[in-house]
Amino acid sequence: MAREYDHLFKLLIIGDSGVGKSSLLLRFADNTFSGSYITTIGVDFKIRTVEINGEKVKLQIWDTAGQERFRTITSTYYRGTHGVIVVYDVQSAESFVNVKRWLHEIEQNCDTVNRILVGNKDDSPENKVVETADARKFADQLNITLFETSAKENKNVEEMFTEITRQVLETKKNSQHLVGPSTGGNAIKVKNDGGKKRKEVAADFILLEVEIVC
Amino acid sequence: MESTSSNNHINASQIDNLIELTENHKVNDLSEFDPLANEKPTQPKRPVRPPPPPPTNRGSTQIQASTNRISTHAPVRAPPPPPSPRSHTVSGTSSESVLLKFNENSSAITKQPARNPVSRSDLGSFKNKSASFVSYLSSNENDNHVAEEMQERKLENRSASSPDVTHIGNSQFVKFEPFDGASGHNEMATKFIGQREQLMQLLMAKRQDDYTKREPFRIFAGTWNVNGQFPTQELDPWVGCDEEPPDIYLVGFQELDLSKEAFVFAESAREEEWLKCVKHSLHPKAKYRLIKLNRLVGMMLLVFAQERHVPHITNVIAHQVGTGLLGKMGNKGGVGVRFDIHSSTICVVNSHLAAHSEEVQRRNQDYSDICQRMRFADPQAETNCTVLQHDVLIWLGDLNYRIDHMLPDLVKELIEDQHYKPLLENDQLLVQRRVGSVFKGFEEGDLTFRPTYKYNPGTDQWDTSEKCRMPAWCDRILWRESALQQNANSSKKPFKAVNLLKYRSHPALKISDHKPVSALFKLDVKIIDQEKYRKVYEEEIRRLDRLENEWLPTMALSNHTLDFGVVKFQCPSLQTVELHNTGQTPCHFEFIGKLGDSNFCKPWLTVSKPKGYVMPGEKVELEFEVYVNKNTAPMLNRGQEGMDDILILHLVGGKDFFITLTGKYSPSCFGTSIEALCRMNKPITLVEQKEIARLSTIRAVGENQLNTLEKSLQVPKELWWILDHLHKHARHQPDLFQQPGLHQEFQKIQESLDSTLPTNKTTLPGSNHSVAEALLLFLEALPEPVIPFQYYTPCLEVAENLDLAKELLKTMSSRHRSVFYYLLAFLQELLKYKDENNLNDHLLGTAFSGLLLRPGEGHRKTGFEARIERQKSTNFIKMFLRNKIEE
Repeated sequence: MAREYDHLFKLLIIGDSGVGKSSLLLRFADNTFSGSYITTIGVDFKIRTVEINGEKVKLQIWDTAGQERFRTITSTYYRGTHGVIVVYDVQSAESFVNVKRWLHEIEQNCDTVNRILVGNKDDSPENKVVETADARKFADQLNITLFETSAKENKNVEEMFTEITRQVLETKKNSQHLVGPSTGGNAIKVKNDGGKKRKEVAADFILLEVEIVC
Repeated sequence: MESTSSNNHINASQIDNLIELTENHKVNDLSEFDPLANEKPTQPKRPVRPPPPPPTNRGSTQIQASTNRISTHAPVRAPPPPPSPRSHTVSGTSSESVLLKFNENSSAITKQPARNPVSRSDLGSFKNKSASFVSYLSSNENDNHVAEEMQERKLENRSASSPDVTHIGNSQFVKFEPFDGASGHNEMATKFIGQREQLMQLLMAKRQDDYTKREPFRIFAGTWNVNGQFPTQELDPWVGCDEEPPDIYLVGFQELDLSKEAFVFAESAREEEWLKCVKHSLHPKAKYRLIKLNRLVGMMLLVFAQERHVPHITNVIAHQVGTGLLGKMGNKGGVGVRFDIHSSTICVVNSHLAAHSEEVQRRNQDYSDICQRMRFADPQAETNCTVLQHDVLIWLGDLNYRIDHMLPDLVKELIEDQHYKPLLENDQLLVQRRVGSVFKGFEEGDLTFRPTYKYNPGTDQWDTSEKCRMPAWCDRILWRESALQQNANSSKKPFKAVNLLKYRSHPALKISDHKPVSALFKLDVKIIDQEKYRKVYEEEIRRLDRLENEWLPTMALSNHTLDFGVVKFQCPSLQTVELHNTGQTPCHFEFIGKLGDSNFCKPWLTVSKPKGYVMPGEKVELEFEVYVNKNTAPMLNRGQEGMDDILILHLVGGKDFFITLTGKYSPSCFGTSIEALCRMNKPITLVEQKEIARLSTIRAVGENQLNTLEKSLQVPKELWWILDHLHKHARHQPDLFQQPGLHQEFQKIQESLDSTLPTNKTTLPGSNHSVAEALLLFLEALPEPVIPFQYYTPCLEVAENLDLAKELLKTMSSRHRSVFYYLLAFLQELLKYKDENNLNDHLLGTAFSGLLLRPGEGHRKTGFEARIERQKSTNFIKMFLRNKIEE
């Protein structure tokens, strides 16, 4: 008999302040967009039920404050997260540079988690400064799926959320079916071998320390 | 300990009693007013710092403040008023209890079944359970109203499923397990489970036209009481009479087998024979498959369908109900079969009701017994429905209703003339239906054929036997469409899925004393377009998601940043934030600790309402007060921590807000160590923060572990200034140390001490009493008391031995020792004028022992032991006061 949902996942949206995290969530959950910018001061969530391969998945999507001063606090919300959406603004090089720091945050605070990289505000070619090719190269290096979206023009938003959900679902299925710690897709298992070393290494360490388990 | 009864005298035990009293009172207050008192506190009980003393009435507030700011120097004049709770705290708690009451009351509302097994075929049953909602949905196309209704229902469920009132706002929702571990507080509040499912069923039913098409099916329904005869005649004139082959056959027999064996045993040879006979006569133009055979004694129901439809016929379930002998046996009763064809749900009942003309009531009773007792249950499909819970119910059989009030001859005459009207007026079934006693909501075709009972077998002649039965339309076929199906259609004109094409009898079949009857229906079967269904389903799910999101608690904050500016020692600073519930649900808010911290804010901050409720559309103002006292000043002076902080305001079941606090603490000599002050050659406000921090790390070490490398004063200049002032101006002051100072004056004194260098010519502002109080406060706020913590116990041990005590003090830091002897010398000086200033050594000993000799953290004695210790420390000071001091 029909159940309300077959799976329940928690997704987290992170990224610099002003890259459009809340807009992505608002577009996905309520299919609305507001041009006026309201900084998120805190954490908020919305729910949305989607169907992946005939299975109903209820998503609880957390939108976090991107401001630097809240970073330590927001990191406490990473726990129990199944998928993290790292957002940058294709019109802001700085926000793209900071992606590394956000990935670092994930590594510090999550165990096994699916990640997806999202370049938002991809609706104004003349203002685009983060080239798709560069972002793609970076994403490929980390084995993360890249999406370029526009919450404003409702471009790729649905697809992006569907993809991260699909990956999370796949990870769950693989971990259920296989005995042992293997995970599927490009889910990463973040090494958790003490924090001493980690603090000394620069952000570039990610490539070295993240072990891709296939 | 000698107790003084004079009101003017400081009495330590009185103060203790006072403290206990006020603390007890506070505890009582909590349990009385706080409905959440039993709940596990989110933070350990933090002493609630009382409001700052208003400048005008210093005396009373000081007493009030004694709850935690232990003012040993507070003169006790009047019994303490209870700590006055802030007005909005009281109003807050009362509104909470109102809310709780509301929930308690509404918890009586019957809880909806958590999960109703609903299949599409079950919509009918759901309709019955929430009839008002269904009719509401069907009568009102406005989505907003549906939303309102949903919310009402949700609210109902919230309160109903939450008998534990202390968890309001928390347990009414199901915690989403995977999430609540995150930071311990982001539990999700979205309990739709079960309810949402049912709502989806309803919303989908309401929109079924958007994803279903109708296809006409021909249904042949036949009934014949065969009077226990063998099938010696072909059934073609009955079953195969139509030109077009029906899609579905529903064929019912009564009195198939009148033998006792059939009555007692389940087997009957007649079953096979009649089945074969019917099969043989089915329409030749199509291929049929038997879907179900259901027989109870003489009643048999056969369902055939054309082979091409078989894959679309599902959930075939049969049931039988006996209403005969003992009300249970199968000589009378009904057999039923239900099935789905595509998305339409069909039920057919073949019944043989009680015989005899006068037994109308029994027949009615048989009908309702069958309706009630016939259940189509399939544990695997989780269905359990009654005959009425189907899109279409076809009821056929020997219903045995007769013609009343007429003589047989007249009846027969009228029949010959085909003048049926008078007969129909007296037909028991029509009469009973008209008055609503039986077959409510059913329809029947016009009776245009001769009564089908009772004939001499083998003929078309009326019964000529002894009994000479009156003719009657015993054999009937009725149908009923479910109300939901009609309502589900959005057009105002009721949609009829069933259309009767023919209703007739078949007199050519003569082997029985009954003639067979048949009806031909056109049934518009619902066929779901899976693609469209998915689309509509998604739309509806999104709509519910949106509603669920709208239903999440939400608030707007007037501001997210609180700037307290420059904060000074014991100067309260107030900021407010207004919470506006902009959502649709009551908001239960609370401040929560971050990063696993059990306190949600620093000790120098108090929030007027750390948790509470805001009703939709309403506002609540929170007051944030920064107040640095002797306990929190040392940390801030050292610069160990700034005044910047982030508070998390959590909405239970919803979002979290971050409230940022900023402020700059202006360092003060109050709360700075003797060692540090002695090493500052300028006022503290002119000393760099880093320097203060460095100096504050110097411990009060003994003389022999010297660090004399740094030039330092022997006594803090601030202390010198105060004592010098008092010595000059206050020696003769009556009631010195017994009368409180003025708050405003104290602030000026503090400012002078912190920002100017004393000279012989400078004087401190304010009255003698204010300066005296500043002295007490200075000593009290010292992070390390004049007698350092580690000397506390040793000093008590030598409280009666001056020589040993002096030896002991020699091992103290020279600055602390200097301060001690300097102070004692000053106090001895004061005692010279005790006739004027009303001081005595006991009073001074009591007051100053608590300031100079303080037990460290972790050395907390209570009760009798504490009293002994206090007495010893008083004696220690008194011993020095009474003896000559050499240094």
